Amino acid sequence: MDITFDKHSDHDLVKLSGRFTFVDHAAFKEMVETLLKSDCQKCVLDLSGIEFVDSAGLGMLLIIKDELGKKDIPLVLSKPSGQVEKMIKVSHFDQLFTIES
Amino acid sequence: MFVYGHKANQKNLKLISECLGVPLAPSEKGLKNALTLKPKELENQVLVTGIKSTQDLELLLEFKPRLIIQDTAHSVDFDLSPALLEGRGFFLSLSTETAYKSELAHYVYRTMEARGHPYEDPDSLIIVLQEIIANAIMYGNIGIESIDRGSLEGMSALEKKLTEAFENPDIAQKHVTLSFNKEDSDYLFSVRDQGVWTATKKNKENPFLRGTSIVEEYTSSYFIDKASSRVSFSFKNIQSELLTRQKAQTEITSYNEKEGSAEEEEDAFSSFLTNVDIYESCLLVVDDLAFNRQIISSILKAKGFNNIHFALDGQEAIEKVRDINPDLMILDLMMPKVDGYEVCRTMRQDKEYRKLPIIIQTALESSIDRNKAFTAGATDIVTKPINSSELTSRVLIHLENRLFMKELTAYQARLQEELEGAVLMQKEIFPSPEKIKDLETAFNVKVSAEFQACSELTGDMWGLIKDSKKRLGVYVADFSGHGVSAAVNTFRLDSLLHTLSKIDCPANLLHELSAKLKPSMRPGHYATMCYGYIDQENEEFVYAASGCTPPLIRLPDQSVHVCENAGIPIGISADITYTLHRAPFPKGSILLLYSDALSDNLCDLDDPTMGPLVALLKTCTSPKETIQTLLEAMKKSNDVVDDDLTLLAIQG
Repeated sequence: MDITFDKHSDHDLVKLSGRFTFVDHAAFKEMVETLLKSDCQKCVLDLSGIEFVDSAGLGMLLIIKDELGKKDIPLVLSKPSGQVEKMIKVSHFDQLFTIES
Repeated sequence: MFVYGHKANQKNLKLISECLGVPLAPSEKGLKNALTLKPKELENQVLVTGIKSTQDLELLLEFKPRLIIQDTAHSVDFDLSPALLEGRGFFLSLSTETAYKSELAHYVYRTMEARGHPYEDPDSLIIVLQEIIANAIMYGNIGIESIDRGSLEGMSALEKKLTEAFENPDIAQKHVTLSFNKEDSDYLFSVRDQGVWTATKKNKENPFLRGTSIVEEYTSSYFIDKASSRVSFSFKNIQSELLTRQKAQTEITSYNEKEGSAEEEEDAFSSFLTNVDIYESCLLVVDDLAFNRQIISSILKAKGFNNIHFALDGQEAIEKVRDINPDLMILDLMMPKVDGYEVCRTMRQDKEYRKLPIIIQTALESSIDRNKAFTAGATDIVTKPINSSELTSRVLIHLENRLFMKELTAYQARLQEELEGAVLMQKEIFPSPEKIKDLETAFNVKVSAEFQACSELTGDMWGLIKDSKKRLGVYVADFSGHGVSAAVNTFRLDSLLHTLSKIDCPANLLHELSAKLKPSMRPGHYATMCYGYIDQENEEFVYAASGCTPPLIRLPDQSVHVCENAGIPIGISADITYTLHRAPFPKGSILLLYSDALSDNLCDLDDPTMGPLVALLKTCTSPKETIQTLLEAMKKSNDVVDDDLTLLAIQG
């Protein structure tokens, strides 16, 4: 999975692309740490480029929600599609996360 | 007595003749190949020849020569000791390679020793040493051919001085002045004061370092100046310093002591190993020459090793290994009966000793010979003459590796045992065949289940319960992650289900489970689960789901109902309200619950209708047939299943 950062005036845009699976754990964790250090006001995770997410990937979304939640930083999941959207629907993550299409 | 030799080597023959005071053979009796001459002709003569093999040697010995002089560039890599022991005179080298291979010197020494006294034949020994040292100085660089060896007078004078030195230690300790320069020679010999002799190579660029090992062996100190291509060395008290075994040991010990600071660093490195004294390792030194065994033993003892065993030949080596099971073997290559290569091969063929570190010591330096040693199974090679710090470094590295491996293997074995214990414990939380049978009878249902863990411990579980309202409860759960932590969660769930058994509403049960599991589950971890009961009176399957796979119900009319399955996985939050679902379950229907290993394998990611699974289920009329059909379908698909597989079919 590729991770790119974009700092905007009122939020940090993190674009994820490729497959989001358990192998991405270390990189994802690093990204979360960077976010926390960079005085993030709001985080938008752009999932439009993700073609597949597994249960570990969903777990990582829970982790970032938890970490940002500790500092009251809002988190938005943006543009999930295909299999990702399906996974989010099945696990009712729309009840846990703010989802923007 | 005459000196016989090949016509091409006239110069050397002359030199030998002069040194020995033995006339050269008449030219028509020059030796093209000793082996073609009749034995009688060579009896009691001096042969200057090029022996290439033990067979050559044996043949020549039949000629009963007084002295055989090896006059080629061949390395002495076969066993000379029998010939030497028989007293057939000495082999000495007039060429670079053999000159500074101390293999030769050791043969010489050993023979002297075997004869009872190193000085029994001082003339011969003087010649050997003279040649060795002179060659070491002059031919230090391999590849230089046919070099003028300095004047004959110079060589003789050197010999004379050496003789004096050997016979009179006092002289050796004082100044030895000797200088002989010959303008047209390539070499200048000059001797400075305080017993230091110097040889300077004129007009040559290559430093002569290759001879230093031999020089080191036979001098008490030496100095090499690369810039000016000079080697200076001194003999002090030759008799007691050089030629006694005791002195050799003392030299090695003091050499090691000088390297004290290097040793301290090694000790820090060794501290990686816990509770083990590497110096208690059992070492086996294999060498047919007592001198070599002594030297190696002294080196090792000086380092602190105190558990050293010996073998004198290959056969004994093999027997000793089986007897004492050493931690490391230092193995000579050239030995009688069974050589080092054979010992290596034998050890590697034996499962017990395949990993035994074997350090081969050899004078052979060609890459072909080295490859031969590695092919035979050597772990490492140390060249002769043995350099004490190189030997001890290699020994320590291999011993440490071996100890690390042993620790690692033991740790793995312990972990494996514990894992096996945990696996057995986990089996207990799954319904036993007896329990299943009891429930089948009690509820008049048929149950068929298949569970395949992809590794030892699993995060998947399934179960059957007689709930508080005496209905048949059923569940399938899948904890995220793998291994030990996922498995621990299954134990938690099992306990919780027992404590929460009074809750008869599946939706409430999932809510409670989630709340009770959350505190002990790390962020990012959760379980998908389906829990429900079969309501036989109302012909319904009443259940709640938290993101599990959609339960499938095959109705008696062969249609398949895909049940609702969405829900927030349990363990994430304590505040989730789950929906209670009711699905039709008339008599004869088959309920199928399963882990995502099945659906990921057989169905498309985007197909919520579970097309392929539904198609397969349509054809099944019993739980047993259902399970079999699904397993066959999984086998047929080429995907590798790397997740736990749970299949549970119940027919009402």
